[in-house]
Amino acid sequence: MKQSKWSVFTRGIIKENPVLVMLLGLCPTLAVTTSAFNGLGMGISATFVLVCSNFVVSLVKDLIPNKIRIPCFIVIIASFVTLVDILLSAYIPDLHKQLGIFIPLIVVNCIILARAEAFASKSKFSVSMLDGLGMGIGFTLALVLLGSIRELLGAGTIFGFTITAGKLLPVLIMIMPPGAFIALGFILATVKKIEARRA
Amino acid sequence: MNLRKSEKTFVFILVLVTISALSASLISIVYAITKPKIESIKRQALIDAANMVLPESDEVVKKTKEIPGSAEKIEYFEGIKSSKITGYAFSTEDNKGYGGTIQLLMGIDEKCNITGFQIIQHAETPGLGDQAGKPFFKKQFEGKGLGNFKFLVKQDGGDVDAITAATITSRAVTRALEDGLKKTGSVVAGCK
Repeated sequence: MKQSKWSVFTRGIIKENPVLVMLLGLCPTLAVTTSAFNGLGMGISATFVLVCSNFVVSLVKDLIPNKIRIPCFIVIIASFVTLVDILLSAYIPDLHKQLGIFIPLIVVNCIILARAEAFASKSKFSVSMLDGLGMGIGFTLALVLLGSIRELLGAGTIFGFTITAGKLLPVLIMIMPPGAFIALGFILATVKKIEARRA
Repeated sequence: MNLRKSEKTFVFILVLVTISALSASLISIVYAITKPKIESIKRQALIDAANMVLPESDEVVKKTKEIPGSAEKIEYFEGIKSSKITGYAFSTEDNKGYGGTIQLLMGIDEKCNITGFQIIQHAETPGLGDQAGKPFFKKQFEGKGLGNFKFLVKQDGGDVDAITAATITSRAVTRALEDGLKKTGSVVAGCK
């Protein structure tokens, strides 16, 4: 089963988008997307962890006995997340404040463990990194999309730029958890509709 | 290569310990390298906040005062203008915010009334609780002190206009401010 490097990279963005198609990592997706910027920040942090962990997992895959692979993957993933946490608080403190508790929660983001288990543990390191990058970009796009919609409807801005604020009343619920579910539901329904038309 | 069960277990332990040791080492190194930067960011954030809540002063000076009879020390800022103290800034916090602890830096003038406050740390909901840092909410506390203001939200019989849909956050900030004002008595002579 040889897949071209390009297809490995692109499938994470559209065809097998981890959030919109595979429905993975919905917890952080719903929780962090109160604004487009937060979605972007979380997406980039998770992508960094995903690429690094896929890289390391694919390098040590032959050294890890099968029976203890899950704890080993988790230690590797948790280490990279801790590094991201420390580096952000030192070099981008504003983003670190915004993402808050959701940085440590990247560890339990299913996407990362899923890719380590399904792909990186069986592939060469170069392809694994591409897979990580593609899935990470797909994750980030989904987060920015959801974050933009929630921010626009709930606060009238996108990335802080005023669009309708002051002209239209904001729908506060969009920034709260129920709004996240509602918005994501509509996005997923749209995705399914587009998929059905294409088939 | 078929290993006996005890040999397999040994390999499992060895692999787990090695991976954990390598991770811990890497994290310790990065932590040590970034620790000074993180400390200085925290210190600078407090100084910036002190300057913001004490607009009358030209500079702020950090001071520490020991409380007689206890091992506690209070750290605070003095606002200086033309060699005279124009105000003070105190850290205060409340741990019953919606998302946990809210930490503030509160400024007071010579009459022991609030000049303003800055939120240093919080875990409140973006777009709701974090509005507590916006001028429309903060303004109502300016010039208020223990003698002329009831530090409770209107729903609880006080004078504070809470943020719509963020009452818990509003209560926590109000409590933090009242606690801060009570703290000033041990440092500033003349404050209750």
